[in-house]
Amino acid sequence: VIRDLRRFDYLMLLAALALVGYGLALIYSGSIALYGSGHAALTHAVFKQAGFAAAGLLLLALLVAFDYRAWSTLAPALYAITIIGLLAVLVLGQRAFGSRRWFAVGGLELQPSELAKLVTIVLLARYLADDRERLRTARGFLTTLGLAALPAALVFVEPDLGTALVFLAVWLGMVYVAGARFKHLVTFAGTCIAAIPFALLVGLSGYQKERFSSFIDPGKDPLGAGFNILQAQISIGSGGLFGKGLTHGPQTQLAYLRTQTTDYIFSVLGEELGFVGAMVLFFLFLVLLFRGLRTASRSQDDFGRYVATGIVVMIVVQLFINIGVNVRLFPVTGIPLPFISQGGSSLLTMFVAVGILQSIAVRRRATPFRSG
Amino acid sequence: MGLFSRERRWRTRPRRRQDPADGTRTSNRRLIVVRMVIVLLFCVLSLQLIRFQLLSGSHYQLESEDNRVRLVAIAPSRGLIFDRNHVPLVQNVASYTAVIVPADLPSGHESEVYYQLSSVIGVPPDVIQQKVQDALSRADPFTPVPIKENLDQRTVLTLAELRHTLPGVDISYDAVRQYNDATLFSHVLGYVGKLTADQYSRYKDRGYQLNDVMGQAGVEETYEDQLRGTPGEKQVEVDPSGRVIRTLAQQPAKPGNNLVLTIDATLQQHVTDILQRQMQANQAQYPSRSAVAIMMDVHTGEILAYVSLPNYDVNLFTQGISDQDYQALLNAPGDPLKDHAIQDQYPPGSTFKVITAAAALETGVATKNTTLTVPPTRRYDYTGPNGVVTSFYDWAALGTLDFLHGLAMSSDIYFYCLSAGCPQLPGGGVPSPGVGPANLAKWDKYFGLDAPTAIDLPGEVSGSFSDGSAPGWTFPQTYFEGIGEGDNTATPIQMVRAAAAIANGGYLVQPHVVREIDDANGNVVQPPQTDVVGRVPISQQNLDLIRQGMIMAVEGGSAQTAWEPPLKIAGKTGTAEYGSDLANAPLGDNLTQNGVYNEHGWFISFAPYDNPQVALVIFQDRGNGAATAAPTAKLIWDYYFNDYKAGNPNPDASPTPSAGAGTAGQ
Repeated sequence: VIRDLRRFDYLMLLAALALVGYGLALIYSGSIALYGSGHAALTHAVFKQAGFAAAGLLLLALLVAFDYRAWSTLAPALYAITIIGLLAVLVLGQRAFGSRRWFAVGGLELQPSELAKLVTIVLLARYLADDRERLRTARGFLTTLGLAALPAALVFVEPDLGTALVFLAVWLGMVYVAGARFKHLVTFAGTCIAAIPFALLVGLSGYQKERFSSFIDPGKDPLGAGFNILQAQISIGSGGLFGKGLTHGPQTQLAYLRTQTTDYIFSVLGEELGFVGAMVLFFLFLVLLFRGLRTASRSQDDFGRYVATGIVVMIVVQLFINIGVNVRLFPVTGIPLPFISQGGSSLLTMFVAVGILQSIAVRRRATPFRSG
Repeated sequence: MGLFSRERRWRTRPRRRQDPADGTRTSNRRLIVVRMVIVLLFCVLSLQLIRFQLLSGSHYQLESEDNRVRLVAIAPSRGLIFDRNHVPLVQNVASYTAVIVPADLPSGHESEVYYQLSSVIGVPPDVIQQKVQDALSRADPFTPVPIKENLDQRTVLTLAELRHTLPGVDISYDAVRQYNDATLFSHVLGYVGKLTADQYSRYKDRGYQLNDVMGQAGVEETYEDQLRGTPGEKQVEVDPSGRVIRTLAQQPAKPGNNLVLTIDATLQQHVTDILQRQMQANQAQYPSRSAVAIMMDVHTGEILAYVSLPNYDVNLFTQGISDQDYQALLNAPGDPLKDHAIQDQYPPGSTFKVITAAAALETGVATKNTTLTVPPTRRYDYTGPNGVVTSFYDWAALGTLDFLHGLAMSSDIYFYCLSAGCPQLPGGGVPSPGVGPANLAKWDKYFGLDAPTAIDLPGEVSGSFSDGSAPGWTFPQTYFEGIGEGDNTATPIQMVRAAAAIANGGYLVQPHVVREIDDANGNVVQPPQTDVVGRVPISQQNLDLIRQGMIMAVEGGSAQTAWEPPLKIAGKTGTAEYGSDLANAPLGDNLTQNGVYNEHGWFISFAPYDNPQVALVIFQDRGNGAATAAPTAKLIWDYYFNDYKAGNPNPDASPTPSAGAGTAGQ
């Protein structure tokens, strides 16, 4: 039962839809070179993406009506199914760019890892909300880590380091907000730092090492491994303050940028819409994220609070990694830019995420802070 | 700071069980930290964007331009060459070449491209790879490397279709030089050819590309700067595989200038025919390997006909001559690649007597009335201080000769006497030292025989002359120089100019084969001009005497074989002994003991005698002045005056000129 539809967060929805629209424009511009001009481009990329957006909007409406607290009950079962899905994709999934990440079902590509993020958020939130005191024990802390680390490990071996990092970041954000002890957090951070050299030596697979070394020195092989890194940098840099105008960026239109509708869509924005365009994007994201955190703050229960926190952290970490790769803060790692990048699984996941946020928002308490 | 103290407060009561509201407060406090972290992350991204887009924006702008904009040279169309009547002698025809731009080859997959390309054009993959690597060591990777030239139409179409699957492969269009007559003008026009590695390194600063051609001989070489034109430049936008998307800007090429030669193609054709026929006709007795005929306007220095035989097929060179063809030309008898008119020096023989004559008249050693008698023995015996007798022979017992007859009959003894004196000649000789080697050298120089004529053709050499200052010089050496042998050599072009000087009143004109230079629109860039580069310091009276001696030589003297009445031709034959076994050669017989002819035949002449217009030189290797050179000249003069000048330049009336190999009509 919806308590009060007036509490529906229209601003959040508006920001999300604006981001999707922004993304469609960028996908259009980025696919002209791939699909030819005019109608051909529309039939391929933009229409497909708009179709996913429409489906996502429908899904969002259903999820608002659906009491989010039911997810708490469903969480363990969903988690189990997700883990099985992640295992299955390792065995049966489609291979692309050297890793297995998705199934092909009826012409659609399904990435279990996208849904796995949401399912893990829900399960963690349930665990944390069931008993606040659990987290304060070392055992409880490690249990939450384990719950996040299991799917993270499975996507890591796909291999998809970026998404694995998203799981860990989401976990960190949630346990922090849920009141994890500093002692535990510091110990965890220390362990991570100590493990970095070991991970670099042993843990990273060949392609990750190659990506890392080309990140450090892309000029070493400007036409090979370093090509994307350099071209993204050139695209963004040449955009300047206002950019070259949508569909008028030579880097994009002459296909110097690769995967310019997915991983490198931010470079299209940087080149064609410039610094100003990027600031508009950041503004839209900040509106969405802050409305999400507002939902967390005003949630009627801990479960809603933690779910909302997890979703916000998930979105922020994904966009930070994606844009960070584009602006050469991180080595190349294939993570879609939320709401913007072409791709059904990612977009639907974002609509589900916003739907859950709205579901929490409309059921929030009348007064956010009971005492001062 | 406030945050910190609050955290501390929280940490002072770790074990107390929190009430739910407390936990919510903690969560909300920490959510504020999350907000701050989010803002921080966006700040990091924004800072990086500020760095890239606002601080280094112009740098990346340039890199983006570098990426997509490439400069492509547009080859200018090479200037054309016409004969003096504007008959075209060359044309530029289309040719297609498969090229590879190394920079556009897919990194790590080059060999796949080589293999595919190989299947289309039939050049083995390893050869393609070798060519690309060779080119990379010489030029930047954006310079196209020619892989196969002269693609046929079908291969061009196949390649054009496959181009999108063959990154780095392109088809380049070239205009290839084609000479309308393959051989007729070989030593005048020369040919164009690919730059050699050496030329490329020397000329690349002047905008020459690795694949360019430049003039390698003839006027194609000397007038390279005029003919080449100015290359244009095109700014094109390319995608990552190097395909041109569109042209951004274009600076069109400026076509080269056209040359109008002084030579008349019809005259050239007939002179060539006559010389070739004469060479062949006399092969049994005079096995000439090479021959030269030059006709020059005596007043302007314009070369009207310029033939050096054997000639060669210049079209062989325009698209890269095969090794086999080149070796064949190098080893061919008569050295067809050498322009015998300017690129080699020969003893001028008795043709030089006109210069000795001029020197003798002007130094006062001889006058019109200097009369000497060639003994019946046709021998001048000189008894030296030590009693040793040395004999000097004449070619015949010519009897008593005055100056005019000495010249007309080409008496060797008469000119020995003038050159270095002959005090012991019976009947009264010339006192020593005669003109002497120093004065002879001076007159050799006056007639322009000591330096190249600077004709506008490449590779010219000069004749030489010894002034007798070398230690141990003896008067017989001066004798030999005085009759055009010994240390005395000249080139045919020098001799024709000397003949012209006698004809035109003593002026040394500048011989040239290019009459006029026009730009591509037909505007005259350089009009016809006459350069007088020197004046022979001889009186008109003495000049007239020499001219008189020369017409007497034709009309009753030693050059009667050139006489074609009623034409008034003045001329002088020369038969020059040469070779190492000169001393052993029996006089009057030009066959050596080895059975080898070791004399050159010469004939210099001008006509008409009363109003000289044209000078003609004939040179024949292993020929004879009176027996082969003068008769050849007679045929040429006959054609020149009785057909060509009489308005019937093609008397044989066959529709196509009857010339050597590859006579494509104009």
